[in-house]
Amino acid sequence: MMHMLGLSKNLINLISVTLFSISIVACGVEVENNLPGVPTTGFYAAVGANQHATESTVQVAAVIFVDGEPINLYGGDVIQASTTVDSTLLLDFGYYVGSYTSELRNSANLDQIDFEIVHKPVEARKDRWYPVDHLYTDPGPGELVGSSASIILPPGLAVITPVAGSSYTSINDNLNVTWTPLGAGDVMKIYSAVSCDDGTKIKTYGTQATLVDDSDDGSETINLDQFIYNSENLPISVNLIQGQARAMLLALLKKLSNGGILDTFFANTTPVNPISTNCEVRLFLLRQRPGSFNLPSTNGIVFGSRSAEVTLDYNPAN
Amino acid sequence: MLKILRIILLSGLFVPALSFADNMFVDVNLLFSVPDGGGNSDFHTGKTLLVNYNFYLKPWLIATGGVFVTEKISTKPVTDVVSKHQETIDSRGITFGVRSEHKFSERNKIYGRLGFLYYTTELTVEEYFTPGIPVSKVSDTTDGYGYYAGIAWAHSFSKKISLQLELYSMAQLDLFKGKTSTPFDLKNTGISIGVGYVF
Repeated sequence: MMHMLGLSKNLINLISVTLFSISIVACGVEVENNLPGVPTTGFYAAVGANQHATESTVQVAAVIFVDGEPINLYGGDVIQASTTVDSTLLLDFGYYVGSYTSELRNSANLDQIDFEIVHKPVEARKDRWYPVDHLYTDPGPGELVGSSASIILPPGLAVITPVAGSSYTSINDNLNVTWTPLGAGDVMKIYSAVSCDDGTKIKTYGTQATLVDDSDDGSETINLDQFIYNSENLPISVNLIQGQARAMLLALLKKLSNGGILDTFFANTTPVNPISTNCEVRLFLLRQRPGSFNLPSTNGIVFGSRSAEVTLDYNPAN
Repeated sequence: MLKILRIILLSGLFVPALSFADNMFVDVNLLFSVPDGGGNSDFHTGKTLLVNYNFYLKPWLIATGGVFVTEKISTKPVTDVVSKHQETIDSRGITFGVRSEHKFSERNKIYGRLGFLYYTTELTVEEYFTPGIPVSKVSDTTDGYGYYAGIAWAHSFSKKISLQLELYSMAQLDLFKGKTSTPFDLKNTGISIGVGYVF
């Protein structure tokens, strides 16, 4: 995303970066909100956009690191996300330190989302209470202004099976997730947001399913133990959602609930054992497509996705 | 500022007439309030000194005029995409209005007051961007009109001295009108404690 003028010596050749989970303590709680998997040297950028099936807005997010530390934009330098019709400035701080987020209105349901670092000293202050067009200081554009990336959102999708409200009684049950395939080379992801209620306490967490085949072939069979686990067996058997996926899904849940979901939804701290508790599993299916930085030599990850969801019930057999 | 001086001078022409009134008193009040500039403004509690000159038109109706001045009141520092920033305001001005009283015992009365004000307010914005860039400070002054209202209880300790406790609100309207596309109102509502002295 970023053309680092005068800093080319520190650029790392573009590599395929896989965000891996940070080490998880026994209770599955993250102890810091730093994006995991960031290289400790050089520049690194993470950019993402997702449009959910029921929404007319795209969640956009970006973060830039140098030597493992997030860069704080300042003075009116701000990331802009836009289609050819709509645009927004990423003025909100994201879940991870140094990340910026916003919602981009996609009134024309376009696929191409462009990101660019722009210098807008007045617009970047628009949320302040006083007249920012009259009282402001402009320190001038920074060296990152002009850097850009592009994302093409893949076509939308819908979950055909399992149907909404399907009920399961054992973590050994299989789910056959099906959707209409496109075969365009996109990557499929399955995430979950789980709420388990034992009558007095509610435990919430999220998982990333490990797929045998993540190609867009229209079908994936998953075992329910990718979403429901026995907390008495350590280490826990599910892959708790982390990294950009966690930030994206949290932002989506907050959007869908009009802010009713807290930042701690994925903290997984409540002492309730999912395997023996009635749980609601919100299963999110994503079709994901990589984007591109304006400079191919930029290190980082950029992707666009469209998502759909189905809600399932887990009611363990007594 | 010149406007305020002209208004005070014009008011002074009426002082000789007022000095012959049967009952006149001065009240000095200290208002504790949290200013509200709208939006996400988040000020600390501040103090405003209000001094009023009052004379009775009728036993229950008083004409009142005065001056007010605030201390410098700051917002809590906030960090956003642009900078860590903090705003400070301070205001001064004059008031004109009426006050209506009801005496419900020999030493106690309640009153309400209502009127207009003319303000001059300075707004200062301080921003810290990043290490290596000096702290930025920009400010400007604006003036205009507004209104105030209050309801209070007063207790007389003697024939000349009374204590008054008031719920008071003042609003400055359209700050920086003509200088910005987004003028705003500044409201100050709080509790004031004051002393009245009868001549």
